[in-house]
Amino acid sequence: MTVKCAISGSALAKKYDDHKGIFQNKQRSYWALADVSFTLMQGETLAILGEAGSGKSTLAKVLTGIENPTSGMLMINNQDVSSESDKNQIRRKRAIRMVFQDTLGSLNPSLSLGEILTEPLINLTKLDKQEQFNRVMEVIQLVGLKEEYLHRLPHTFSAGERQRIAIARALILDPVCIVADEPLSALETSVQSQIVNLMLRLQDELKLSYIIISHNLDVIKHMSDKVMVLSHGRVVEYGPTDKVLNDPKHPYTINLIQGEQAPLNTDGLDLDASVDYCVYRYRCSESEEICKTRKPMETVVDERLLSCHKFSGN
Amino acid sequence: MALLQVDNLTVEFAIPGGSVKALDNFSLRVDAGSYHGIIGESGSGKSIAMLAIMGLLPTTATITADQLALKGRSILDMSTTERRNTLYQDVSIIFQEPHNSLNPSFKIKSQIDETLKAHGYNNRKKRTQRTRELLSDVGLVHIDSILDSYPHQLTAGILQRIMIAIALACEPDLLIADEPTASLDPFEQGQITELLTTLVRERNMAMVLIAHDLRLMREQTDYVTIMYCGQIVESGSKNIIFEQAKHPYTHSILASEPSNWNIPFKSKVPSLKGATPSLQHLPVGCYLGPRCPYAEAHCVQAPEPIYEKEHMTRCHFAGSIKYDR
Repeated sequence: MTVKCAISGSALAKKYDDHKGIFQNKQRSYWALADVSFTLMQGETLAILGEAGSGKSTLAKVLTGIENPTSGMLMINNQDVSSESDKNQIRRKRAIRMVFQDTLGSLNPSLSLGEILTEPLINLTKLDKQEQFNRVMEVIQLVGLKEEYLHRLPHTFSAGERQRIAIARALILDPVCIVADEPLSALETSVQSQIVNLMLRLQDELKLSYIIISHNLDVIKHMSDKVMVLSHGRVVEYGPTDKVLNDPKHPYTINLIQGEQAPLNTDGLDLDASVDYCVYRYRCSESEEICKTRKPMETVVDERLLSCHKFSGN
Repeated sequence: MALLQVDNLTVEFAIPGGSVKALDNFSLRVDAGSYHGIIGESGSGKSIAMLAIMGLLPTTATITADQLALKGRSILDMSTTERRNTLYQDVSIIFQEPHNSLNPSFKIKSQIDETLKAHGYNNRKKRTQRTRELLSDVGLVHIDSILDSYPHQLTAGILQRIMIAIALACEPDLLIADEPTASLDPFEQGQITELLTTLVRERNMAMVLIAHDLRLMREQTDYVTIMYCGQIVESGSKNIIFEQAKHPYTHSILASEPSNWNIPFKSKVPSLKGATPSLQHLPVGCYLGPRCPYAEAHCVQAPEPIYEKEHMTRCHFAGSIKYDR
């Protein structure tokens, strides 16, 4: 069986404009994401690692269609969907769905389980009432909830059940990929493993792809095929999980995995994608003169993509 | 004499049409300088137990105990003034949400000042000096700007450090930390727990830590208590709990910890089936019964706690179940 390419992004970038001053007339731009490229096959899992402020959530927003990329191309099933037309927006929203960390905050407190699950069907499909009902029932059983829960409100469920509802809502449009932003960290240990089992089973049954944003290295090791490490919106290391996590090469990844990260300090850091330097140079213990003047080239070292002067041969 | 002695503490809440037992015969003995860990899911009663000890439960709660004593003095009989002078002087508590624990409309300066004032620091100069001392003890820099800020201007990590400083203000003998790192981001979590442990060990204080992080428990604590549905299911010294656990629930949470997964890539992860029952609809007999993989017909009768020196287990088959590790 040939494996299809589910999602691919090339040179994705997102710029935010920050307006300051009394009349909002001083403009400063901030590249939250620059030059991010990846490919994700059907049934594969990509984990995204990085500290707070490294652009993980921006990437998730760009993929799920909450934000539009400033530049770059996003392909779903080999179809370009990066333009801002309504048709592409709907395609993106149907193909890439999201699951959040805060289980209570991500569900509308005044809608029942049935209404929560029907909403995407009303907005993004043309199914009639009976078909909608059938689809809801199908998904409820798929994620291990019971039919009699249909009229209950979110606060009456436990955290684990609410995360199942969030996954069901993501599944209901039959997506290509689910982006999960810290799906486990708000749950207790015993519930965590239930949700991991559910996600693995769904991936196996439906040939789903996952993009998982997580800090839990053990979970990443168990679930994901590839890891992408982000720092200041730039990819610093990207490759197979066992290579990146067991033998990290980039100084940033090494610090991140050992948990000895110096605190984020953006003072004096001009975060413009066009500027030539290494984004990690201020906090890197091995930084040299070249790191301040030239942007590191992406190099393939030991099956992974690295952007660091140490390895680029300069 | 133990610093804190709790025997059979039970907390009941009145609800429409009856009452619900949030805590069922909770016992704990904390000696001076010892480090205790409590593990349990939400609703297992771990926070309720700590609130009951601190006298912070609402009046709708009925608290009964064979013994609830701090340094030999019964806490339940204390008046409010006595509480302030003894209990709150000797025991401090840190909560999960630093944002909710601090008053949003006062500067940090006056909030630390308030605590010191209430506990006998009458000289203003001494209070200012002590405030600075406390903040530098918890590893904060730029103290001037922090003192002059409101809580919303600071990050959760800094606020939690301030909460720790306030908790240490009276040099308590016992520090209770109720999931102190749950609302912080993972890189700060490590720093805060490390700070707490060093502070506690340095000052030879006793500590009761409520947390989900099993790795942390294994590294830091001396004694561990495991709770389920308001009951203690197993308690004992750290080595016994992590190496010779007898209760199926303890075993299941140890097995479901991600760092203990020694299984092939993308294969099924060990987990207990089903969900924790609500306290209003508890199963008959052993509360774990319907979810327990080792349950037998006998489990419809409630198990009595079995003591083996300091190791307590609440299971009919404790010791006879063989776990493959």
